[in-house]
Amino acid sequence: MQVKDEHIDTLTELLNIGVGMAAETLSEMVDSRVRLSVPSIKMVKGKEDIDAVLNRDELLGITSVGLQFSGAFSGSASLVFPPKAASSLVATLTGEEVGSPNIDDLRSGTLMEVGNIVVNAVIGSMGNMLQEQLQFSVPQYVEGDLVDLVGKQQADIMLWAATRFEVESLEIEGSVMIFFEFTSFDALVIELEKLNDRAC
Amino acid sequence: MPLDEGYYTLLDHLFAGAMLVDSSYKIQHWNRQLVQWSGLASEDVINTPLKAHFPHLMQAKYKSRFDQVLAHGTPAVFSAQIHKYLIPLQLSKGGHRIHQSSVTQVFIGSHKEPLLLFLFQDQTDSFYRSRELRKLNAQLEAELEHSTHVDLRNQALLEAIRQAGEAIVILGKEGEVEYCNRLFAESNGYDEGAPPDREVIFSNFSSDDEQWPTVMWESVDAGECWQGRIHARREDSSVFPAAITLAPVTDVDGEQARLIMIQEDLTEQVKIEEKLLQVRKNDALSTLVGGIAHDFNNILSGMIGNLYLAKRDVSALPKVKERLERVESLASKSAEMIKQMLSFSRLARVEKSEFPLDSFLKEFMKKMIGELSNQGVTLSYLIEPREYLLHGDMSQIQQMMEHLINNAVDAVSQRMCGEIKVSLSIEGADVAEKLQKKHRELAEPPFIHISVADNGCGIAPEDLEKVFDPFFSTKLSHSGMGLAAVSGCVSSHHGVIEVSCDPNEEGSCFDIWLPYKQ
Repeated sequence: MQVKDEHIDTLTELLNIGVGMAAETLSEMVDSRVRLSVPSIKMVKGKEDIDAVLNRDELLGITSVGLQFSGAFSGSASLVFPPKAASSLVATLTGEEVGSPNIDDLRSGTLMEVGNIVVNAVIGSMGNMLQEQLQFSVPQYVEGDLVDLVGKQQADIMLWAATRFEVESLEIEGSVMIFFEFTSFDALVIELEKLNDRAC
Repeated sequence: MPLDEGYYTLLDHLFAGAMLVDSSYKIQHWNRQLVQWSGLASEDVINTPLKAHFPHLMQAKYKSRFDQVLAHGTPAVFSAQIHKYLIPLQLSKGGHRIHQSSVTQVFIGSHKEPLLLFLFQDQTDSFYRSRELRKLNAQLEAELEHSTHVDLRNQALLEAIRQAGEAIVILGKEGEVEYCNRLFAESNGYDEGAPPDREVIFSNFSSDDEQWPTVMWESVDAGECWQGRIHARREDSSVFPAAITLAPVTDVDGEQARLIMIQEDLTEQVKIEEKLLQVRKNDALSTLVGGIAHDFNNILSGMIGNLYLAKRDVSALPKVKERLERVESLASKSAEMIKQMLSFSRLARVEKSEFPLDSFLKEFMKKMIGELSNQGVTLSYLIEPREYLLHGDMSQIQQMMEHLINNAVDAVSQRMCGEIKVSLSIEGADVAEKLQKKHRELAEPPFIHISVADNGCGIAPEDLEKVFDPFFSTKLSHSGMGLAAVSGCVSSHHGVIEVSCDPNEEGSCFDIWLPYKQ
């Protein structure tokens, strides 16, 4: 099934609605203004191209929180932070100083919760907008190379969305990565077509 | 058992707190672990609103996430790190359990609407253990850093001792040699990696004072530092003068733990001391000789004047006149000797001007070659073709060359084929540097180098140091002032003179270095 520009535009909008909800939740949680945005998404097709993206230097030694979903469309979604951005985000959200030994204690729990909020909001809003009930696994927190993290998944299509966090004038770049199998992605495109039709 | 009860029993067996809440936020199940941790009986909780027990969970920051779980089925996680605890669960010793909570959407039995399953996992122990571990880790890292720092400092110190400009030996408590540095090993002829025993080291030390070892060990045993001058013998049996410092080193308890020995090679210092002694001796002699020569010169001038007048008075008495002329000749010789003495004592009148030394030497050599042609001596010279500008007294330089060549002629007089070679060159930078180290009185290079070498009888090694002393001569007929005058002339021109006599070769060689007038 052919993916058109309008499908990508719709997905970008869905992701932005999702991260908008996540930003609201995070703002309430940390009692500080948190802004999240997804300026654009890229679609990567085929195992080789996906591996090439996953082997990029900035995706080595990352921190990631991901969950798997299944239903009308299946796959996995991860929120990925480079190590420095992860530490800065934890420090900002918890009020600890970067470099403090406590940061390591706080790191996994804090990032797991932030990742959980963002990924849930993104996938949840996609499911909601597409009027599909999805089942989810509990989130997993992983430190390491993304290629090892998702390499075992038989993903054929990856949606790669650069995500920008703004917390109290601090800007942190992360990425939301959503992996689909071809058949699953076809189902997603059908749902997107339906959504576009409804909008018309 | 009804279906719902089966699920509840399952939840009761979990080693975690489990609570089921329906979509109207009423508590549907409160498992055994929660009863134990919270102190709330399940009958007091079940079918009551969540808000009644935990009103804070109705705040937007929590409720919006619960709503999301109900609406989309996406599980929510509340970390121990951010929230510490979602609901207050007491510890038996007081305080609250730190726990991580997850909220997932479940469909159970008779409930048509989705339920929220709250799971509370106790992380109190791991939280504090992790904190303790972190603290220990930080301590360990600090200790490791300190230890690394100390190691690096020790290595730097050891390397500094190894490369020190003093020869150093460290002796252990029992007197064993623990370490000797590179300079000690090199100067005493030992292997740096395998230093010899203490007995070997000290058996190679000697002193004119036979009591020195006793005095040394007594001082060290009394905790005092001992210093003394000794003669150190190398493995190849050569001996050099050295100053030894032996000092006890105490440990943190003030107990004598080690001995540190520092050996200073005094070879150069002794040479300088000897040179200084020689300079002082020459200065004293110069003052004495200069004083006598000056007074005697005045007397001699009077004698020569009177001789001239007496000769005129006795012109009619040829016998007397002849005797007076002989006296006059002897007086002239005495005047020449006085001149040499004044030259040595640097009291001779010096009239310096700039002149080309090469042209001067060429003419002088031609004259000398002519004079020596019938004495069976071959005199040759070699002048490196370049400019030799000297600021000096031409008359003194001529006398100096005359003395050196006459000295060489005397040295080769017993030879069948006597040869004297004179050379003139400018000294290169490498030799100039060595010369300046040896003769600190020398000015900046370049230097004019005059060499006078002969193949004569040479100079006995024990006489080498004395040849420039006034009145030193190995021949009875000589005054011993010639080379002393040469030395005085060289000094007047701010130069240096050396004499060498290779025992494996014939003759001797005088080398003079004078500052080049730039």
